[in-house]
Amino acid sequence: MNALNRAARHSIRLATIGALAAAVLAVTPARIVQAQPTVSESSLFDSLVLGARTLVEAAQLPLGSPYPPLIVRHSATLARFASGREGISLAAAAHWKPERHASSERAAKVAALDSLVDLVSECCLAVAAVLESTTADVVAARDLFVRVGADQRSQSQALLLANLKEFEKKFGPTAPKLNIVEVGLNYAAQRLAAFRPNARGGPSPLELVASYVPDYVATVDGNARVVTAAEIGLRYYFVGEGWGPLDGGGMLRPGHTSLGLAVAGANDGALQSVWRGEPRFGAFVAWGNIKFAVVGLGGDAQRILLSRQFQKIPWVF
Amino acid sequence: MSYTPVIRDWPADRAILIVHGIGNTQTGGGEEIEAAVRAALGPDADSIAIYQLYYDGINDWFAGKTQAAALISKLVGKFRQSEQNQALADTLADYAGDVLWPVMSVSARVAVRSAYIAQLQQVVNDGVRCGHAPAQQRLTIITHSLGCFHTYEALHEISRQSSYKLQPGTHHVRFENVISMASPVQLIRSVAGAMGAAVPDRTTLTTLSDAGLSLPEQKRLDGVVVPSAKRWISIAGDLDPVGGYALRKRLAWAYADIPGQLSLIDQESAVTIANGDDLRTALHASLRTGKAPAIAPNDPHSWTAYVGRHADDIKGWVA
Repeated sequence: MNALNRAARHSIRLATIGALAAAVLAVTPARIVQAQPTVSESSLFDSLVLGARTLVEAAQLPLGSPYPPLIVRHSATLARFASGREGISLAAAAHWKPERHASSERAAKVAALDSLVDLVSECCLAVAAVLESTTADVVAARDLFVRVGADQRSQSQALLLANLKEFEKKFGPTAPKLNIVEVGLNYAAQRLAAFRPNARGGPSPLELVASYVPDYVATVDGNARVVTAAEIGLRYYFVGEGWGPLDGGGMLRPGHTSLGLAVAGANDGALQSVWRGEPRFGAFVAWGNIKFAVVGLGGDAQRILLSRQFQKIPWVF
Repeated sequence: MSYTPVIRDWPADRAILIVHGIGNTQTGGGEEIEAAVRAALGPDADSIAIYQLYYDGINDWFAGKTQAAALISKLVGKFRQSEQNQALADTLADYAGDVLWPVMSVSARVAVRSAYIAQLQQVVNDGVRCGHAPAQQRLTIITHSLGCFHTYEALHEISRQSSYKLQPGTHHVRFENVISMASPVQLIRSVAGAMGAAVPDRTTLTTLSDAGLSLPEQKRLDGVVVPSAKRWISIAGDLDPVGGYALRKRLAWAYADIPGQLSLIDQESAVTIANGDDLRTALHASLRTGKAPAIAPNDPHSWTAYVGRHADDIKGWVA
């Protein structure tokens, strides 16, 4: 048993350096992952399991503490992924790339790691006997858990910053501005979950559109003609990486698209009332800032319209 | 402009986060208040990592999207008769907008809170990088005006949610001091409370909690309750309406009286003459120069004035 403990402690020391890098792998975005040295995920899990035991022993938790049984349970879960239990050699398990795993397997590993690190942190990492210890095993285990905690914090921060970038895509200077009617509609729409920030803290991709467009252009008998139309519909923001002006998405990968009902008045012309005469109904679609609409489909005054998304008069249209 | 947290190297185990209220501090600025804090700390300041949180840029996204700031400016424009009033109108427009977003827009609320939490994560991880585990870090937040509201919301959020890895009990991220100056938390609670259902998704605003205002804390698995701040200090001037006072009278509906906080009330002077010595000096100068005595109104909400009045306190708390 003592030999086993010695071996385990030796394993902590040896694995710590590799484990720190593995922790980085576990919790950083993919593009950073590729730049890191390749290390074993199993060595990280080994170290965490053994390090947890070292810290719990050093912390001398009181009898009846709720932490040890939970730490044992989560250690057992994590140990299933460690090298010894799965029989994976360190050389063969040289990469931990969680995104390569099936989502359920990845989720199980991340959840087990997260629970174990939080439990050990909560009960051990502020205890004077652990903080002040100079014993090599305790120092190595303490540093490992602090480092893994910091990496988890970095991962959480990366998510927050990604969410903020998405907010900027929807609300920032490159996003379409709202007129006063749209401000009211979108304020009211916050009552619906689909228009509120999502569960991971990013913005809803949806926005209501209700605008008056006095400068659609159509060709009639070979001549250009201005047509006024109203639009009511939904805008969808492409907030993902690579889309929109912030990411240089260009025409092929714009920041947003819209779809909805278009209405034009009976007569063509700029700044017309869309309700004058018999309205011509149709649809509009926007791809980024380019907008197309068709009104009066099949009728004598059918028009195929083209315009560009921008606000001509603040708050109005 | 994309939001990026401020990164610092820690000279020792202490850090201060300065959280602004209103003003144009999108990507920089705030030198005046940092200088005031450094002056209060004296030589100690060199051994402290000092951060500032800039979130005005995020408010500006929402202001630009709806052009509300310009609209508010126009509404208050009729009161402009001089350059001074112009500045006042601009300030009102900024302030109205900055208060408006977190209350009326769930997205703005979440976005500013995210920026705040991302900055806190950076502070803690900078400390770890420089060799100080969270349990060994000595953190202080100094905040003013609307920054107090965002601090209140952010610290409650990180105490509740484990995913940020900033909980006081589990991750040992505890603040030695949260020094809140002229906090409008109760003012916002009263006004937003009166707005009722007009405030969307009230559950994501801790300020409106049915349980009332409270200091953020976390209950650990073993039942131990760990407060987020070891010392939560609230300072208000008795002429500062944002802090809940009007003409030296406390307004119960506006003063943030949070159970457990250390409350300090400053005696403010309405003009630059605070006592008989100041008056004598002004009169002597007036007689010497033949000009009218230099008596001007004081800004009761001035952050640098708050810091100046409590320079010794701040030095002691942060020490």
